[in-house]
Amino acid sequence: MSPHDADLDALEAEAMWVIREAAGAFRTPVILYSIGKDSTVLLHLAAKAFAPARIPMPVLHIDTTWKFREMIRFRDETARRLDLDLRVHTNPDGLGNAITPFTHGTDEYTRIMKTVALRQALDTGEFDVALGGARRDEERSRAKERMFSLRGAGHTWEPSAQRPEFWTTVNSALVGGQTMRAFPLSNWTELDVWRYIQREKLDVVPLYFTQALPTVLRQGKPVAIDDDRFIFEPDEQPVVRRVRFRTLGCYPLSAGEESEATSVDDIIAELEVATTSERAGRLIDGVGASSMERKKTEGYF
Amino acid sequence: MPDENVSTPAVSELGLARIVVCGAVDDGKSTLIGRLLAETGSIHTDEARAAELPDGTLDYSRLTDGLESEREQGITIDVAYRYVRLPEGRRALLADSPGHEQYTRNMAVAASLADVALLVVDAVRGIRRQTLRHAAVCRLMGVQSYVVAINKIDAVDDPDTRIAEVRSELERRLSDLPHVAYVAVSGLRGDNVTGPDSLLSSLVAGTALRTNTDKSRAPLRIPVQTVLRDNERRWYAGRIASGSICAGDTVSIWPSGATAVVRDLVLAGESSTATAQSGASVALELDRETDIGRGDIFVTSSGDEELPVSRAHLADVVWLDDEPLNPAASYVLRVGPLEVPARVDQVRFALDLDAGEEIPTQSLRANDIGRVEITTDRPLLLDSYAFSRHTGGFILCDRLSGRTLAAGMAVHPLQRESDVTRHAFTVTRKARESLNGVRAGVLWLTGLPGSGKSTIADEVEKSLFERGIRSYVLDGDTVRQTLSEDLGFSPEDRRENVRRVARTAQLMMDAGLIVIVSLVSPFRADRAAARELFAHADFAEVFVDTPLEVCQERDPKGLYARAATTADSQMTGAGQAYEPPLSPEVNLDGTAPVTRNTELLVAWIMERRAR
Repeated sequence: MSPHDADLDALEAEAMWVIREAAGAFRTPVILYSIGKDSTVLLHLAAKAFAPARIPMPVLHIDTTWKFREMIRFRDETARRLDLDLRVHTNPDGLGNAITPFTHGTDEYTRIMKTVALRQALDTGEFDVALGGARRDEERSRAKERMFSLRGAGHTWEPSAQRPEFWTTVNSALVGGQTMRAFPLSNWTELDVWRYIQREKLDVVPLYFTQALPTVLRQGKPVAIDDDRFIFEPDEQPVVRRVRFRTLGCYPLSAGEESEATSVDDIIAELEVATTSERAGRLIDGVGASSMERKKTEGYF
Repeated sequence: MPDENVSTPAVSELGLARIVVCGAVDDGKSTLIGRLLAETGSIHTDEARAAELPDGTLDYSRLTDGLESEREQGITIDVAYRYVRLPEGRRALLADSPGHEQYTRNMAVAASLADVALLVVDAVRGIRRQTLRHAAVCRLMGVQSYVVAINKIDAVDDPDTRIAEVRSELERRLSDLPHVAYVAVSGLRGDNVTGPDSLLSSLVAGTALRTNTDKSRAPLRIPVQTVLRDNERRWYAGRIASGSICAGDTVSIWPSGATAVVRDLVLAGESSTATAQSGASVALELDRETDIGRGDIFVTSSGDEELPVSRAHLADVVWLDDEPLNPAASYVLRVGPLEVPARVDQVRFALDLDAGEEIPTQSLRANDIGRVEITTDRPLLLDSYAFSRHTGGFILCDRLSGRTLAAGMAVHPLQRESDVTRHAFTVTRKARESLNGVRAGVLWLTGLPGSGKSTIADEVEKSLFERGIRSYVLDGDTVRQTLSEDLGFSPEDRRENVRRVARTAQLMMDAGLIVIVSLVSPFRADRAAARELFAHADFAEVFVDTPLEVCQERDPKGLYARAATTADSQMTGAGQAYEPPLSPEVNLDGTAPVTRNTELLVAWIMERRAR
């Protein structure tokens, strides 16, 4: 037994408790699935929480249409393998108005294609609790969030007036259009996630491992050219670089990093000495010191 | 400091080490924590960059004050959760909590799962009311060990003297805390944050204590969260709050009282033959069909554990909401997955933090700490909080707004007449009766003074004693000198006397005894009221039927003789009438030999052996 196993066991048991609570205390739970490593762990934990029965709730993916192609392939394979009730939603208004990360500002694009899309899907599905793979160590406003986090009518978050949370007793009362977000991975770190992926031998999207990809540098970081919709700046030329991604999102907004990690073991070794956080690789967080908090108050995950 | 002789148990509870950071506002918590995180290599460089001031220096408080409004106001509003790296590859989850009184609710949240409290005190200002409030909340929330950091020693002129002063004051005011370590630090300058005999080493020592608490041998509690269905099979899913469980174990289910064997134990998603420990998320399949749903609790099956089930419980509460406690309101009480309507019947006291005293009050306001009596609409299994945070901690919620109004920590169940629950009551009494060999019951001997009640009672008790059956005689004369020494012989006082004797007999019967009441109890209405307290089979009215002339002639205490010379005597058979029973269970001829009457009553008792 590795020294990390006790921590992973504790985190696993806690996450399963959250997932079961979402199923037991609410009417219409849903799992939010973003295809990344955290979502992979979340789905695995959900399968464990309900085993030997199947996951008794739908899985929702907000598709901005700008995810890496490998991600979509992985999503559909996963849904088949786990026999998921997968629901995919794209904001039709965003599509109609041709909102893209190239033509609109990052904030505007994210608001329309992610935040608004998520609100639409939650409203349409009448989901009263949404499980997500967010972690407290990701970002400092996340560090402030409850495991069961109340949302007001319109999916708003009031960070300075959160509902208190004690022990393993969840106040699941919802009134006047309130809904709940639940975060089973709240107390996991990026390293915990990878150690768990290693221990449980989970498959992840291959983009987490180093491969040679055509890239350009933006804000000094390599951004992959995943398809022919990529719009180059006047002086940009694609350069093949050996990169991997610490976080995956919309490909034009996900910066990779040069790395030689080709296995989960390599990634863990790399992270054990890493000095930067994973969000350093997300171009979307660079705008303003509180951009995450502001997006969350509007309903973003 | 930890006792070095305490051995580490073979199995320890599943869980992360958790530290709550608290103390009054502006005592420098966030700065100290930021420093601790930075010096232990617990933060990333890009996070540090985000906490930089415009002049490029690091503002440590910005590492944890993650909300926009917090940075604007320069205060902590809500809890920030961050890992701190400890030596030897270990870590602890820090909950940095707000110091302002108005955010006490968030501080209580941070303390609710903590093993260790880091209480920060400003060396300049010394102890403050919030320091005491936070210490009180931590103690109520069951925090096991404390590191008191006397901070800002860079800001005092004569640090040694000042530290000694503040420390002696703290030692006096915090004398009721267990395992306290003191350390003098400067968060701003970084003095004594890490290194030998530092803040860090004290925290390490504090977290080491938790590995010595083993909950797996405690009585079993698994609150059921949800039911898993696969074709015809069912598993009951929950997290082990205390105790341990293994396939093949027999368990009981509260509240139904049903018992079943665990046929399949699913641990972390797979059927397992291992023993699952406290903290594990499990699912149980049972060997028989029983009606089990969310909020039911799996408990140890052996009968020797008396479950803390009652409709009334004594509890400590931290009132969280701006709306004060309303004793008339019906709240929703939640403990784990269980929900039940509840009222707060009585506030016994509130804590005066400055004086360290309990003061009587009718209500509790935001941030008050008090002790209350809570009544639920149906019997509730509520463990003492000292036994388990998960099955002894509860919240009170507002029905309309859904807000969480209070966090409660159960002390013990209260036994009121109306909440002697069938389940808990029968088990208890049965266990005691099994020691006695017969079912407990009450023989109520009534008759005129001098009819021979006491003589018969005494003979019956001797006979039972020889048989090894425990009993007790509640004799009128003895009761008059003790329990009812304040009462006279008016009809009202006689009624009260009968009531007290009946209630006492009820308690004794619950203790498993054969109770022999020897009391004139002249009025039918009073005897009927006494009879109503008992089940039909447990109460026998015994009429010792002796003619008045015979009693007057016997007059063993000279009562009749004295009454004859007293105007307006209240004596039964003289100034007051005796109302003979109309249909007593046993009718004894008071003029027959005592041995014969004794045999009749002993026979009635021995018949209860088989039942």
